[in-house]
Amino acid sequence: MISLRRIATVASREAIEIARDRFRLISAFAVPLSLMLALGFGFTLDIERVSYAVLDQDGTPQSRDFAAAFAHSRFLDHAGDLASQEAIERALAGGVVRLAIEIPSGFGRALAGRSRPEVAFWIDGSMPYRAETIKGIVLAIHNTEACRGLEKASADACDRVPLNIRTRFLYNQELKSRVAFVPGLIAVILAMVPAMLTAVAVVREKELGTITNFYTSPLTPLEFLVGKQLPCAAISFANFLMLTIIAIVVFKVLPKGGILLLLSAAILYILATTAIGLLVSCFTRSQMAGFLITLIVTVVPAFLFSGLLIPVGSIEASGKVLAYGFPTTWFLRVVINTFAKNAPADLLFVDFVVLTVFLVVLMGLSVALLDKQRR
Amino acid sequence: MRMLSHIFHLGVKELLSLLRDPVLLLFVFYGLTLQIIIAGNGLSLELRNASIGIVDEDHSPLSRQISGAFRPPQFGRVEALAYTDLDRALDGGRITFALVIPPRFEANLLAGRQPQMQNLVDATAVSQAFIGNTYIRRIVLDQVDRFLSRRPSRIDPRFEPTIRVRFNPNMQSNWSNSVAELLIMIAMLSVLLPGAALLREREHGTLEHLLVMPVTPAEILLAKFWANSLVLLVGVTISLFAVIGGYFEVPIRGSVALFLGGTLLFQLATSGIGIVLATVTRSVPQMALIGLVVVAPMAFLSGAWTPVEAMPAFLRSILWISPLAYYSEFANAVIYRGAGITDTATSLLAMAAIGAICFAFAMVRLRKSLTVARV
Repeated sequence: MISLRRIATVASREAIEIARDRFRLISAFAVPLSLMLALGFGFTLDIERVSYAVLDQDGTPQSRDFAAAFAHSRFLDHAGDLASQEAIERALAGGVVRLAIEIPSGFGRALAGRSRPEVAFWIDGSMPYRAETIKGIVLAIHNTEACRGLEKASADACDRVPLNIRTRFLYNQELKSRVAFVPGLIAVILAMVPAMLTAVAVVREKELGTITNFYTSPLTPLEFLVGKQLPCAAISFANFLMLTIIAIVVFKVLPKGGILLLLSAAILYILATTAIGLLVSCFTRSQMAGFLITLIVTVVPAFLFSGLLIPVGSIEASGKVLAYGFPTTWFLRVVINTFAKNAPADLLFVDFVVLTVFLVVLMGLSVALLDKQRR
Repeated sequence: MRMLSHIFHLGVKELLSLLRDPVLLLFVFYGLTLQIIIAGNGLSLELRNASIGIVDEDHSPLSRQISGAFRPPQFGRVEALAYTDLDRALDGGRITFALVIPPRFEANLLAGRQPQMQNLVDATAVSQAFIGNTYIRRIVLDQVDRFLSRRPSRIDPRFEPTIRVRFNPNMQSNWSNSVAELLIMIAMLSVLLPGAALLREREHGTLEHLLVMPVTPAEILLAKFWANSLVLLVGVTISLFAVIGGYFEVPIRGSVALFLGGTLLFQLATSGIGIVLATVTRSVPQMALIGLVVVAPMAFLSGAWTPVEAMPAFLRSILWISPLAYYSEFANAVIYRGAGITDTATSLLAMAAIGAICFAFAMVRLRKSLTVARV
């Protein structure tokens, strides 16, 4: 039999402990707040203002026009002109520029003669994502510019493009990282902080010896665990509301709809992530182990495998285990839906089912691992 | 001499208490090996295994040729979709890209009527949206080119730029990912292990025992430093040979001894930070929360996952004092480029300076908290 009264007793005892530990109570809010601000501003893939330099060996009006087109791009930032091939090498190696454009002599003549001038682009590849993006930016500008250059030389050349491809960036027209990352961070932070809150809840009593109170009480393991969990879950839910407000007010990412879905998923999710901490707390022996293990098992899956950075469908097989086997992946879908997509609710049914399964399994394992007597 | 023997014996005590916590050691080992394998394998910010759906309303040889051109490794399974299913597939996140080939596409193309094709992109997949769009456009244009070139009446006015990528010509990211992940694990563990070890003593009251013994705070600190660093260094060495060199076959160009020496300098800084954290907090639950604020931004804003230039200026200036920034510069230089001690002198000196400052500060904090404890 589960006694609600006993759960309430454990919960209020735990709540009093947290409330009296002023430092912990304050940091339970200050920590997610500062994580949200630091990562919300810092964790971004928006590649703008890539510094580049030009080596113009042609020096004709055509080559200057061509180079000017790159200066107009909002993605690029003209760092200066280069004098020689060696200068290109040096500027790239020193990280002064990420892109160097080399316009060969005879560029203007080639355009006029409708032959193919060979413009060379040198890209710093030390970070593959950045290099790929720069390549995309370069190709887009180059192709329109080349066409315009030809047009000046020979009429209607652009009209010969055989087809048009119209791209529509859905849910995030301006392709800003923050539209997906800021709401995503709510899910990530609510994986780490709630788990940390409960990570030492049980093992602390084991280490300090106060667990004897539990051994000698009529409490069942489930009552004990739920009582420990509830105050942390309540704090985490307040955190969730705080982070959502920050996303809206500070980062100006507005919800598109499905708020009720988000609220109910958040409750399930927070119960699941606090249960992760409880589970770790049940099988460890020291507080140190409890919190380091929680750190290892939550931070990396939540950050790197949840679909925040890379769509889960594109993660390779072994990583998929870590992705689907961690609740953040599922909650993230609900968060993104609320803030960006507002899709029909039935698409998210599976996420609710999976989050419930996580909660049940994690609590079940914790109960199984928590003995009523020291072994 | 006395001091050295004190440091040695206190350190041995520290090692013994670590060895008595096998669950903790197991997870440290997991974090340094298996998790790196999973992260190195499963994640890449290049376009890998992207999910694309194609709505083919043309059913012509050309439209089939285009559908067939989306191949691994950039694209995963190509899903044939009906126009009516498009919204749900994108809303549910089942596909990231959708290409719509309209009816009579091939016929219109051959008649020179410039048919229009639509490419829909789920732009909440921030890392793939832009790059993927570039790839898709190129693949379609290539196929159309190829198709039209069989009919010599058509001339394509686009001309091709030469793009050369420096430093990592194949833009391979699983190498850099595995090393980045190793560095993140080292950073997390080396901040938190010594800090938690100190807190444990305080909570158990064994710090009192140390106080009545003829040892100085500096000796206590150095003992904690060498013991915890040793455990981590052993783990790092195993990881470097078995995982980075062995599993990922990353050619380790530089000297392993230099790498480990640099790692030790880095640990000086991070242990210092950990000890400071342990002196400002009063219990492990407090430290667990505060540790997150230090460790998560340090790890995820290090530039390994998102480009540093995308971050706002004020954050970049804060990161300038992060020891991980110098450590990753150092590690990349030694591992990939085979840099020697003179090439990496700047990062080594920076780490030593940050380490000395953190350690000195930790010493002051510890001495202060010890005198408080004495009262």
